[in-house]
Amino acid sequence: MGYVAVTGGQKAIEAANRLNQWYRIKDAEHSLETTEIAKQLRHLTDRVMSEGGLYAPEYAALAIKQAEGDLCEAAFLMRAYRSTLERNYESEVIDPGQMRVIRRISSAFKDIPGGQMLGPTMDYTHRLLNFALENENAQALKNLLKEQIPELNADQPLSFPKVAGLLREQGLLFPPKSSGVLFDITRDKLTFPAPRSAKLQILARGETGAMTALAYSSMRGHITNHPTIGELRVGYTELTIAYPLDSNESLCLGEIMLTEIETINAFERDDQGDVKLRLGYGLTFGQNETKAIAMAILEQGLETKGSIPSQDEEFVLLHVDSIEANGFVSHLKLPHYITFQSKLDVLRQTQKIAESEKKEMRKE
Amino acid sequence: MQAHLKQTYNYAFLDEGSKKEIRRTTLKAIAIPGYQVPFASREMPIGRGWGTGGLQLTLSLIGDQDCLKVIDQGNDDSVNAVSIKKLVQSCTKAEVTTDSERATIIQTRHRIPEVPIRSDQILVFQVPLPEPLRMVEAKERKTKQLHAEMDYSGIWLRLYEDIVKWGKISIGADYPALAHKRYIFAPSPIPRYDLPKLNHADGLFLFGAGREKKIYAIPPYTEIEPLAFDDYPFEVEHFEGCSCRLCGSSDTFLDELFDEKTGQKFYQCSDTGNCRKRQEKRHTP
Amino acid sequence: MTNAETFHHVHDTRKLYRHLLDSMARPGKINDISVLLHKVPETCPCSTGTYVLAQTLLDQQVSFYYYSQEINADDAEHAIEWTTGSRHTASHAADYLFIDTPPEIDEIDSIMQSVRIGTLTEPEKSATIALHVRKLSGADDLALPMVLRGPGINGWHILSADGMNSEWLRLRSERNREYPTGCDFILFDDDGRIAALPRTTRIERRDF
Repeated sequence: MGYVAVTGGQKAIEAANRLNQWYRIKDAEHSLETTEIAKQLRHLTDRVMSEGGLYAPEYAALAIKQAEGDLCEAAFLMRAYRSTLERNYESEVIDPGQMRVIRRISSAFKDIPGGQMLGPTMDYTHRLLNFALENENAQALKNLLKEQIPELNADQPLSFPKVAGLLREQGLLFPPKSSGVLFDITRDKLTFPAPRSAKLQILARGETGAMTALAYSSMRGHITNHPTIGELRVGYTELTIAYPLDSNESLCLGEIMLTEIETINAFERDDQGDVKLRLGYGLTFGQNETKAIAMAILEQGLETKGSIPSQDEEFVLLHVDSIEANGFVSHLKLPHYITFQSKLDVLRQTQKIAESEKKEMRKE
Repeated sequence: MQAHLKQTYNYAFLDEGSKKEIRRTTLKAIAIPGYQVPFASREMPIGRGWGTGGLQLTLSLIGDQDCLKVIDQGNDDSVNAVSIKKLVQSCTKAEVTTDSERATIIQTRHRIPEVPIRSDQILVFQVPLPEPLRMVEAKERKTKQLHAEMDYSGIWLRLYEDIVKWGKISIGADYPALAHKRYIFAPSPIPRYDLPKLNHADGLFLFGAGREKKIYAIPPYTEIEPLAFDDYPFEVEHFEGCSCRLCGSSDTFLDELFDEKTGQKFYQCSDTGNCRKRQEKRHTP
Repeated sequence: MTNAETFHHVHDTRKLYRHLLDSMARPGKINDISVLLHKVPETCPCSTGTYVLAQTLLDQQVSFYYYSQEINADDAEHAIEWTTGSRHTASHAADYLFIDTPPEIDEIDSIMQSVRIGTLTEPEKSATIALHVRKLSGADDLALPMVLRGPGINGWHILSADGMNSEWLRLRSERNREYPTGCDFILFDDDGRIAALPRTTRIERRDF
């Protein structure tokens, strides 16, 4: 069996690229504004930023437009772009406890200091297609805003203490395990066993579907590992860097939106004989709650010894990256006729050997 | 107010920090033939698994005075090869060619050109799976240890089992070999036919696995031994009685094809650049 | 504002890298980087060879050790840090060592006994030592003649150097005895000759 050689490659690619462009716009009445994508498809933009590992909403919106909504392609565009940027600074450590919260809940406690603040979530919407959205014009938007603007409560505190802080004060929590060294997965190749900071980075920019599936598998198969959400918070945190000419001063670059999850798991005994709870940790760019929860589950699973697939460090960390997984799976579309040819050759030689062995047996 | 989006690309796409890391890694790779040196591996505008490792090597090497040839399965005109050439041309002023003898850098997927690589040329391989021991050991942590201790019993056992089961070693392309009597390495999915070209060669061979984040090298004049047993020696692919329909050669690696109209099987050189030159020679008196 | 005569951080580092790559792939082969050395600023406190190598190889990801008996050794070290972002460190911890003037034997011993040679699992985590010598030659006409064999060399190759203490070679063979661990050398002089000795190269002294 042969594979016809690909010729006219240059022309073919150019035609394919033109066709791709044509498909993007052939049925369009007007070009999508990237601001519309950034503003009205924020979960999509958040997810692309989260999997691309680059916090840049306008760029994510552009990537989504260019990729015609293909999430994996958009995340890829972000990663490739990020790859070209000079790295001049490292930010100072962000304390999510200082977050300007828009949503904050806890499943572990009925009530928490500051209260359960549901914030913007679809959790309690009824999943019924709203056909009114089809004809939402500018006037309808205005009316909606007028009706829906919540009463502003000027006394509402903007930040809340961490629930974990309360548990810590009561001596119920182990401190997080830290290797002490900040590994950078974009600068150094990962080796195993992986340092904790490397695990967290890989998960933080991991592919949502892959991580959710793995977390689901661990939850379904192993009830003992069922965690509780100690705290989920979504909001804005300040990004600061040390002032280049005086490291005692800081420069504020702006705010980024983060989702942070701390899960409470089974209690453990450590080497000193202490028995406490350990937190699982999840953090993502933007509002990506399911991914952050999945991250906390996987993170905690990787910190404890066990034999289920989601506790296999290499299995989890090497397969959750969107760009790598999609790239390798889709590379099967490339020509492989040389390897195939070589395999055919081995097959034919092996058949000859098998044939001559049969003849030998018939003689006897 | 929409922010103005910034778009600047460095010469040869990669920023200087990335190039430096690749260069440092490559220099160490040359000092330890066949050993897979880890590197950070940047994302490229082409997909992971589509040649980002080879591309990063090429971009770390290439300058305006270079002449680049890119092939896929031996073919200059393959869509992937064309795509890579276009990318390099968009961020450098290097010349491109289909003539392997004019090139200073050749980036290849799955073949070595028929004309031997000279000492002024570098052949860059795109590698999908750099770890030859992966077929017997799934874990990276373990294979790293096996290489460190030069414990290659697993792969030798696998070859022995092949002979017991099939009567011969059943590995087709990407056949494992030993470099400088120390490291077993994966030569990338080149046919067995090409593997002997790596042994004591004039040219420099660099291997890039972008997704797996490894770079390795075979320097010139280095001993490369394909794994085999004394009584089951290494065999290349068989083309007895076959020749290229276009140039007539019977000493090159051939692709098997089917005639669209007659359904008949025929053969054509995999190395299209070399085949074209042979055809030209045939037709000039 | 770019002056065509100044060392270009994109194109000239690349050119140096290509020569260095060729030298490392073909141990003992002398490559000519004189054109690049002429572009180094005259106020440069270290040797021109160290300057171009540092610009090409160093950044915040790696560390270096600088040795020189000249008065401005400290200035040279700071200049390297400032222009590359790399940090200086002790010789036993450095990724790259630049030896700009010939040290005494006990200093060579001190450097070589503890220089990084990597481990069996990570042989690449080893030092590269750049030695500034007085002169290099592809014949055996200088003070320290060497016959080289190994990967990258077709048969054998001759390299000789002036201003290089044989103690470097003696300790090199000691520290590099358990391949794949070892350290790698770059040799360069002020006239633009550069050569390399990766750990795979076997060196015999050719004494006449």
